[in-house]
Amino acid sequence: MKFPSNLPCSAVLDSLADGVFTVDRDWNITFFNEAASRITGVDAEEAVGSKCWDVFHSSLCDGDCALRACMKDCGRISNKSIFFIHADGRKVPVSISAAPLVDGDGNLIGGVESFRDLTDIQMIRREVEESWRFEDIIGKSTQLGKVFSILPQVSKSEATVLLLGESGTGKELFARAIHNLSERSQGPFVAVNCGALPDNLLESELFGYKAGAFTDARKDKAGRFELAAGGTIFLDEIGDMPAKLQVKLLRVLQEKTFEPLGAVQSVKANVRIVAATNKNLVELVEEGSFRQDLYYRLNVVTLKLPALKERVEDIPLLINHFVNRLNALQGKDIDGISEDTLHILMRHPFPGNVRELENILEFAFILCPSGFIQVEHLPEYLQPQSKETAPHEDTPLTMDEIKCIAVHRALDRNNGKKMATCRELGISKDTLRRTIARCKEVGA
Amino acid sequence: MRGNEGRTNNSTLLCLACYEDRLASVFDNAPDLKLFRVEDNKICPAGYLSLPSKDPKDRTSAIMTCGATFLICGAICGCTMNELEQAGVRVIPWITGMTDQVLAAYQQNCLENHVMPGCRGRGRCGQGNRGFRARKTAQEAMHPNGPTLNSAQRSK
Repeated sequence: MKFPSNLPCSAVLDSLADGVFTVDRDWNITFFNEAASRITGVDAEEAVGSKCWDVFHSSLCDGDCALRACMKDCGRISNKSIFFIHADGRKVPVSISAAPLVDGDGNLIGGVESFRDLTDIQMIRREVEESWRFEDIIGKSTQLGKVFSILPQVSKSEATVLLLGESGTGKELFARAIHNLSERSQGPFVAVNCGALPDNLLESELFGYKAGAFTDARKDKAGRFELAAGGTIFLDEIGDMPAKLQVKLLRVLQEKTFEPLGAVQSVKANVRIVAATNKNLVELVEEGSFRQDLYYRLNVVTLKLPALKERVEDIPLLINHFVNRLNALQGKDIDGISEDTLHILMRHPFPGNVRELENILEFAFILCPSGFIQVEHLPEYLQPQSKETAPHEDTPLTMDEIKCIAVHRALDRNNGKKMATCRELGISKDTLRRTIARCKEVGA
Repeated sequence: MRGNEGRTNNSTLLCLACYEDRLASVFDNAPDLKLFRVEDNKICPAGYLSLPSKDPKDRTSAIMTCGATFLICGAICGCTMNELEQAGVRVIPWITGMTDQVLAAYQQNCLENHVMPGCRGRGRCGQGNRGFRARKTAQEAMHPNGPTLNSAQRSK
């Protein structure tokens, strides 16, 4: 079957769901299809004859025109994401494709641009991203999913919660989430780092004091327990709490009362306690530096927060989140990170966890002016190893370490492609998988 | 920024969001702000500002810092327009043309001839229906004793 000869080309273009317009060499619009009118809010009669930038008003119209680039180089542009301003003031995300228009003799007579409204797709993407977010915690990994699934029930109860996890895993974020989801969300959230304050100061900080309790105590001072009344107190680094205070805290947990320094009467403690530590409390109990009874009192509900290396699939999500946040904070327009950079970050063990990732991106934002964050914008320790920084040949290495170095370097050379790495090293995919797992185990 | 010397109470500092010699198609993306002092219906260049940041807040601050109270620009995002208006800047959006043509039209009180396609005479550009009405009000405010819009000029 042949294409009907009496069917005008414009009728075909008008039936498309994508907006299409053409311009002559002076940027006057020569054709504007129905979808273009619908998406931009400008009628075809008004659009035709006008300059394209007066009709399309997109983020590229002032200085970075896609059509101009196509017409200049006789090239094509496909699926470039931009936005334009709709006549009603809305910012509309669109994907554009552009190409030059040539006549039968091959002369350039203008350009054609098609555009697709991405508003719905962006809304769906945002909804999906929201589904990977729990309060301010972002992740879709199974490990995190388990914690997310029990967090609402844990929050609703009044139980004391003990958060365990390496430094930088977001213990305070989880504590805040527990508070925000609890009945006490309207009350205060007070965080205390028990390891950051000297022992003698920590007691008065936590429980307050009465005037005359000691030389400089001229007036009563409310402690953090009093300030957190009706809300939640977050005791970070509980493993560093001195023995004397452990007794006092035990009393708060058992009797819900405490005594400020120098006080003769007990004060009611109307607080929910969330404690956290990156130490192994069981070992501390065995060593005798942490009270066993306090441990059992704190250990009503324990949530183990996974380290970042245990949830590698969350790294791209977290990167996206931090890039958006840093763009907003610093007024920058960084598009994201390049594939090479992502490969490096995906393989990094992140001993500092999410905090380390955040710091790395903050560092990269300083060096990256615009566009995508490249490998050279990463801190020195993440750069692919140069000869100067490579371990000296004489340095003794274990067989595991040598294997790990060989695997990492081969992965770098092959841009993270595992099959290419296997071919280069002459090993099977299973061996590569086992070696990578072993490297993670030994931290090499 | 230079060119704000000799400011008097009767003068108005007008800001045009430009790309090269024309009004920028989109204010939110405009690379340059050109400032003009309007005094006794005379318009003199009063400064130039390059805008590296795309953040609407930075743009509002830049305009405020220059002391401009009126902005003539092309398409503008509703949020950015709110931001500017809340900061006390009167915005005349959805205008197109070469800088000198726009200034001449402003002087002759006939900016309506330079409204972007899709906004002509229907009051539909900007947020809701407020766009063109706001423009007219702003223009009237700038020309409190000036001539009313000439229908002959408007239909030109």
